[in-house]
Amino acid sequence: MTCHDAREQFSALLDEALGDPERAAVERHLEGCAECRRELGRFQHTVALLHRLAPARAPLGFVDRVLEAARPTPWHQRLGRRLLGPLRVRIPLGAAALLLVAGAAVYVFQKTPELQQAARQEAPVAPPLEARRAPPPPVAPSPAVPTTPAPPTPEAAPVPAPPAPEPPAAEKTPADRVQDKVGAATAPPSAHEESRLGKKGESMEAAPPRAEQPAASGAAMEPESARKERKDAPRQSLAARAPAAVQAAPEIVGRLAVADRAEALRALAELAAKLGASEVSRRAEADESIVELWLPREAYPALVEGLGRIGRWTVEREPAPLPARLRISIRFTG
Amino acid sequence: MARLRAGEAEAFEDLVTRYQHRVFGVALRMLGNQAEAEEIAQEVFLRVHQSVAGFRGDSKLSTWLYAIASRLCLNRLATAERRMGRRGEETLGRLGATGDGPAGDLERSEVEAALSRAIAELPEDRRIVVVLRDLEGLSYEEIARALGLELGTVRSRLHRARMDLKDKLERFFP
Repeated sequence: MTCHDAREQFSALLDEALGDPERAAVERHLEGCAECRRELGRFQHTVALLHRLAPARAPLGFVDRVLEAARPTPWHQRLGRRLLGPLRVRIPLGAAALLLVAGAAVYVFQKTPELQQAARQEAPVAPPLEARRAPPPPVAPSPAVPTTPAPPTPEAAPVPAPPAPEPPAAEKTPADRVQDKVGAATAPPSAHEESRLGKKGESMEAAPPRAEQPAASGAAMEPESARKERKDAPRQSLAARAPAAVQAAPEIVGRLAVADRAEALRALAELAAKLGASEVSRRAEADESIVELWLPREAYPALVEGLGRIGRWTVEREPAPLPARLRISIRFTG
Repeated sequence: MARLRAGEAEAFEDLVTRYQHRVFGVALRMLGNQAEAEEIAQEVFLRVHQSVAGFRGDSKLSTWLYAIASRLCLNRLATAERRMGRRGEETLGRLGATGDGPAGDLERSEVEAALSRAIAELPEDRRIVVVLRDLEGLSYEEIARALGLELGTVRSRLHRARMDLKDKLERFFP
């Protein structure tokens, strides 16, 4: 046995892990090798030092902390954690998502005047008094069902009952009275209502219609193609539901004889945008196209002048004192 | 053992109380960091708590505990963070020099401080064997079972570890 072989067995020798023959061989080598005996001494000393190292002690409270961590969590807490997750993550995420959706909705609404207009049209609007007293227009439904709401079709559901002669106050149903109040709160006041409202009515008149403001300002700034493109699509839907959207008879009815009706309709759209008018409806009847507009009273002369440039404008009906906000029906012929 | 398997809280408390210092000692010697050692030791007992019902009992409970502790320590040492920082070994080396805190009793002399540093400097696979054998007193067979090694591998690694330590402590021998 060489010194190297003997020294390789030192660990096993100290741990009494050698078999008898191997142990005997190592001991024989050690008897004749002082260097290996010296090396074995150092080796034994090292192992003795290792055995003398004081054992480590766990820190105080270790057992309590382990028992606390091992304590089973009640089922409702586990369920809550699984469903809700860490609140510090879920709450900011939920709030951010809510803000994002709300912001997107407001942005789309503000950037789409047609949406604002549609929203205003769907709100109950009280017809001007003059319109109620006047004979019903051709498009108005029969007054045989004056207070019955339209069937709840998808298109007509949000639209209130069509205009009808105002029943005496004593005959009004509670629904009528509620509708009157809502209409008074949301629709621009008629001339009669203005005088009845006094200063309050004036202040309401002073405030421009919400839907018309961006259309008027935007028309001067954006290119005509973009404006036309933006207006064309929603116009289809407005025209499609025109019968249901007609809620009040127009104060002013007239006929516009034109050579090219499509061109005239485009010219009218530009004119309406320029004057801050909002289109209520557009429909085709036989050989005629009928466009109805809401228009501030101040802009009416400019509209008449513009219509004169588009074609030959003939007024068929026009009330003597004009209300603050006019509903104008323009019938295209030719 | 039956009480422990049945999920008795008192049995688990007895187990933690009985083995806390040994498990913590292995973790401290392997990681060299008090906080990390406590974290790993706690994790050892939590794993025992979760899986004691499935413990087959074909080895001693203590061997099972050492096996879990060794695996967790070696896994921790293998993480990228540990490899980059080597903070545990540095801390263990300082423990030997300062002797403060709970590990203070470990180092009462210069020789013992040098020994602690030498242990910390051992390769991890040798260190765990020498810790289990010379500090915790496990047999070769128990170490082989705990670490999943062949008996010859255990014997070889232990011998190399002891020889490394002897060489580093040479200056203290007569």
